[in-house]
Formats: sequence, C-alpha cells, structure tokens
Amino acid sequence: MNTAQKTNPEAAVEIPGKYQTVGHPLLDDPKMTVRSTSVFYAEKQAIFDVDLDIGKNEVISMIGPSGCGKSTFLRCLNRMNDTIDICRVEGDLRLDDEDIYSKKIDVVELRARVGMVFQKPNPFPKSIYENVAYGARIHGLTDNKVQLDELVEKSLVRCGLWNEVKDRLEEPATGLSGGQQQRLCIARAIAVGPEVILMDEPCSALDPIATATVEELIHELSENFTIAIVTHSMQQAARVSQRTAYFHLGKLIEVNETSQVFTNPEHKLTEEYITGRIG
Amino acid sequence: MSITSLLLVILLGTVAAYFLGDARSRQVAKPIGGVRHLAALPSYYASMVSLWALIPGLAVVLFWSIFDGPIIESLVRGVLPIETKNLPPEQFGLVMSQIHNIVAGVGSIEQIGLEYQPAVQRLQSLEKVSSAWMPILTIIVLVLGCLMGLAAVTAKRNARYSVERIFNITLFVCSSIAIFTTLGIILSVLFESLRFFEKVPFFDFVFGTHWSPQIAIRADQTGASGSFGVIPLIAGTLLISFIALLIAVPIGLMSAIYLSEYASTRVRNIVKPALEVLAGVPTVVYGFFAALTVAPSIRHWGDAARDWGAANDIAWLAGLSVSSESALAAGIVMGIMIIPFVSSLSDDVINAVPQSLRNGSFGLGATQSETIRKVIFPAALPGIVGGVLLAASRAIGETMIVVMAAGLAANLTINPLEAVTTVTVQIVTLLVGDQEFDSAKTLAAFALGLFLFVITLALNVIALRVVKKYREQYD
Repeated sequence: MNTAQKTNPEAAVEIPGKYQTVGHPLLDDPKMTVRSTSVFYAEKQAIFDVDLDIGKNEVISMIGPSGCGKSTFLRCLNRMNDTIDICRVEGDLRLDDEDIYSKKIDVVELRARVGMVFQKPNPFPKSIYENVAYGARIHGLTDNKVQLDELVEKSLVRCGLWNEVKDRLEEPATGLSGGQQQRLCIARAIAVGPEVILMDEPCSALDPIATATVEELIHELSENFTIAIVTHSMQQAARVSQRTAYFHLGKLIEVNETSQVFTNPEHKLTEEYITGRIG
Repeated sequence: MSITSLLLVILLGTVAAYFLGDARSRQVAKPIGGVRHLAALPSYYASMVSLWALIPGLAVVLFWSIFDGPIIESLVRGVLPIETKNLPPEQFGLVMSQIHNIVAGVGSIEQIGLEYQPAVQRLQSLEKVSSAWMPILTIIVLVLGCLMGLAAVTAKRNARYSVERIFNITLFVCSSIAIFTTLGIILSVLFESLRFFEKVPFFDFVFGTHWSPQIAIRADQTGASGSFGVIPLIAGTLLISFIALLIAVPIGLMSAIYLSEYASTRVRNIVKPALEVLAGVPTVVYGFFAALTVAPSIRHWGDAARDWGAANDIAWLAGLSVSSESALAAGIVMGIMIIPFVSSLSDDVINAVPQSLRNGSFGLGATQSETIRKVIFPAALPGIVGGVLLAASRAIGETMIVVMAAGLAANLTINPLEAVTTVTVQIVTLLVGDQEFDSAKTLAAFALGLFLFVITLALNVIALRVVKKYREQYD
C-alpha cells in the first residue's frame, strides 16, 4: 500500500504518538472547522487527531505521499465515508459552526452544501443536459422547465463548457472527452449551489491541456466557493491554492501559506516531500 | 477382443508412444548440445509421436466397425439360395437376423431349413476372421504410426506446429458438434412439420382457433375429425408466462436491488444462497406444489368469493367460477420458480454498475433510492432486460408445472381462473400413447415444436437487439 515507506528509509521517521501540527492550521473566521478528528477502517487508524480550519472562499490543497490519508480526510468533510461500512469517524467537524456528524443533520442536505468532484470523471449514463439537471431535480431547486434550462446553461457557462456542448445537450455525456467530462462533473456539482466544493485529484486522469483548463476553472470558482482539493501534483497545489496542508501517514504535519510551504517549509518531513525525497 | 479392450490397448500404445517420443527427442538433442538446440520442446515431440500412433489406430477401429457389417453381409448373401435373395427386403432382413442368431448360438439350423447351412458357416468363418484381424491390424497400424512419428523427430522439424494444428482442429470439431446438433434437430423438426402441413393446411394451423387433435384411427370411427388451430395453445402459453413474469419480475428485481444495494454482508450471505436453492428445486416438485396446494386454495377462495357475492347480490361475483386447474395456479408457481433467474441475473448486472456512479450521485446529495432509480437502474437496464427475457423463454418452455396445474383443455380465454393448456403440454400428450407415427396427430407435435422454437428464437433476437441498443447509448 505504502510504497513510499519501503523505497525511502527517511519516510519511516518516527512521529511521536502525541504530535503538533506546525504552521497555521487554525483561522479566525473559518467556513469549516475540524477538531481532534480520527478515522478508522475497521481496526486500522487512517487519520490521527487532525485539527484544521478551512477559510471562506479559499482554495486549500492537501498534499502528501500515497496512502497518507488525504483523500480519506477530504471524504469526511461531506460524510462520503458513510458509504463505506467499516469506516468510522471520530471528532468534531463543523460547517458554519453546525456539527455535520450530529444526529440532527440531514446527510442529503449536507452533500448539497458540500459538493464533490472525483478523481475519475464519472458522468451518469444520461444526456449532458440531464447530468447537470440531476442535482437540481433531486433537490427541487427549480419550479419549471425554463428555470431548469437557465440553471443548466448558467452552470455550463461557468465551467466554460457551454460553447462546446450547447448544440448537443441531448447527446450522451459519455461521448465527451475526458477533460470535458470532468468539467461537466464540476458543472453538475455547482448546479446544486454548494458552499464548499471538495475535489479529489480532479486532474489526475486528464492530459496537460485539459488540466490547465480545469485549474483555470478552479481559480475562477474560488471567487464564490470554498474549495478543498487533494492533489498529487505539487505544481498544481502551488498554482491553484492559497494554503497547503501536508499529510504524512495519517497525520497532519504542516499547514501554511502555499508560497511558504513550497519555498520555506517548517517541518523536516514537508521539506523532504517537496524536494522529492519522499513520495 | 472387444472394442473396449482394444481402445484400452490403443490408449496404452499412445502413452508408450509419448514416452518413446520424449526419450527419442532427448536422444536427438544430446549430440547437438542439449534440448535448447531442438526446434521444439521434448513434450511437443512426445505429443507428436503419440498423435501419430493414436490417430491411425483410432481410424482403423472406426472404419472397421463401420464397414465390417455391410461387407460381411454382402459376402454371406452370395452363398444364399437364389429364392431367398429375391425375397422382399423385410423378409430378407428376417432371414439374415435368423442366421445371425444361429451363429450367436440362439436356435438351431433345423428350425429355418438346411439350405441355409452354407450361409451360416460362411458367416461364422467371416466373423472369426474379422474379430481376429481387427486388433492385429489396429496394433500394426499403431506401431507403424509410432515408428514413423519417431523417425520424424529431428532437430530441425518443429513439432509444435503439427501439435498445435491438431489441437486447433480438435477444438474446432468439438465446437461444431453443438452447431451441427442444433442444425440437425431443426432440420428434422422442419421436415416432419412439412409432412404435417401436407395433411393440415399451414394457415389452418397458424390461424385456427380450435384445437382438438383427436383423429379417426380406423375408418369406421366417427366424430373425431381433428382440428389443429394453434391459437388457443399460444394464448394459453402467453397467459401463463405473463402471469409468471408478473410475479417474478417485480419480486426478483426488488430482491436483487435489496441484496446488492441495501443488505448487509451478513444478510446477503444468507439470503442469496437461499434464493438460489429455489432454482435447484425440480420442476416436478413445483408441479405438485401447484396442483395440490396452490390450485385447490385458489378454487377455495374463488368459491368463498362467489358465495359471498351471491349473499350480497353482487352479480359479477356471484357468477364467478374457478376451475380446479387454472392458469393462475400454474402461473403463480412458475413465477416463483423463475424468481431466482431474474434476481440472480439482475444482481450481477446491478453489481457491475461502477461504484463511481454511485459516489457521483451520493456526492450530489441524492438519497439511496434516488440513486437507484435515476442512476443505477437505467445503467443496469440492458442487463435486466436480458435477464427478464431469459426468464421469459424459460417460462414459455416449461412443461411439468402446466401439465399438473393448468390442465389439458385447450380453451381460448384470457380468464386466468379457467383451465388452459400450452404448446409444450400438447407436444407431450400428442407423443404419448399408441399412435401411428405418420398420423397428423403425431406430426402435429413437430409443427408445435417448430412454432415454439421460432417464438423463443424471436424472443432471443429481440432481447439481443434491446440490449445492444441501450448499450450503445450508455457506454
């Protein structure tokens, strides 16, 4: 699972049981707060006691070697881990000061507020139009066809896809190219009108040109949305995000301004990772 | 020597040839520097030598068994008295079989007349020669084949090619057996059906609404002219299949959705095998369940409803009549029988829908049932349609339950409470019992078989079309 561990002896540096995240994980006026959060798969602990704030309208990127728990952490934020039977989340996670793991919260509503884009583009086997309209339909966001048409158009325009697909909205979405499919998935997510968008390696299945388009899109979306992005590409993290969080073996090692993480990391492990000695 | 022991000898010879071939190839390899200088591995040379021995040996046995009888017969015929040779074929055959019996030690020559003495002696000596020479010839051919094979073991000759080719041919022959068998069955059914249509006009059969296959066997019988209209049978078949699908499709599909999407692993591990046990119950057991339990209770409830209707002056209910054998009983039980088909096939296709689609839907805030209705079900639809049509052709071909629970009366009705009959049941009843084989009654069974075949074939073609159409749209 963790090849980094085997190939790089430095990666096996002992982290003490009680550890301190270096940098600035906490903010003054956060959108989401995560406190003392741990995640277990059956008996195996995947995330250790993480404290992190996600600011309003910021793009925060999570980086770290494979298997470090960054995707698992991201999936806690909209309770996607609920779909895995053996997964258990402990701790206090809040969206606008509301406990998202409380019994009172409706998961359906939470996921409408915290949207998600996945690693592999996963358009539904429906038409392009129906893909974007899907979320609006299940949440009853529009009252008639005209409003729905408007919403679909607006979402596609925002993702820069409208001009490419406006003449073939009824064609299957699976016929689009990989980059177009991923932008369609983003359009599908923003059509629901979320406040936070989680992106799990959204560009790892795309070619460089499609990646550039999606990165541009993330940049534009950050004006209105809070975005948390998991990425394997450090250049991507440097390009799109304001803050960067470095995860290592399930522990949050360092959180700082992106420019600082990549030029002057505080923690030794972060430095080893960004200079290519781990990972 | 019997054929069985001869085949055993051939098998042993083949094994021996294999080891000889192996040894020979290693011997060839030694002076030129080892196995890697051979064109093929020793096992290929060994296989080649054993095939050289096996194929001619088997061919001799095969041809001998085919031509042995006719050749001996024609030789024996030469020494029969001239008047026997001129007998009509049936009587001549009788004489020949009597001669064979005497040679085999049954009866004595005096019973059929001394003029057959030379023929008996001729047959005796020929059979002796035949049974002595067949094994000898086979073994000679086997040994010769083996020797030729060994001679063909050289460093340059690539034994792999010939072995692979023979392997290829063997596989091809095996796969064509299924095709030729199907073709043979279709042709035989087709020709018998054509004979039937000489006696009964094609359109009377296809569009006739009355089925009563009783025909006069003797000239003095009256009242049974026989009418062969297939419509009531088709109607009965479709009615019962429809009821069966009405039961099986919703239950099967929903249990599949429950098992694949909702059930915990523990529940799934118990329920899924239990459902599959249902597929293992013999149809005859379902048949008497239908006939002894379901049909009487339907009749019982029907009678109760009628009495209640009569007491409360509800005219249509008071007039209700439920026969003790009904399409409903057969349909219900048949539906239960095909539930595992629908559920197990649907379960497979639902599980095959990628997890990424589920995640995408959940990620947008869809509930589990919305995800199933709007994403998973449409994506799995082609496979589900395929499963349902497979279940439908199973229902159409089912016989035993219908024989026991739906009766034999060919009523043209859509009332599920009446007795109906199906195509398969009629095929069974037509062919059971003493009957001349070329009577219209017997031949009708072939025409029905052909009809059924065409229907299920059409259903399969439609199923494939549907599946293909949707698949293009979704992938």
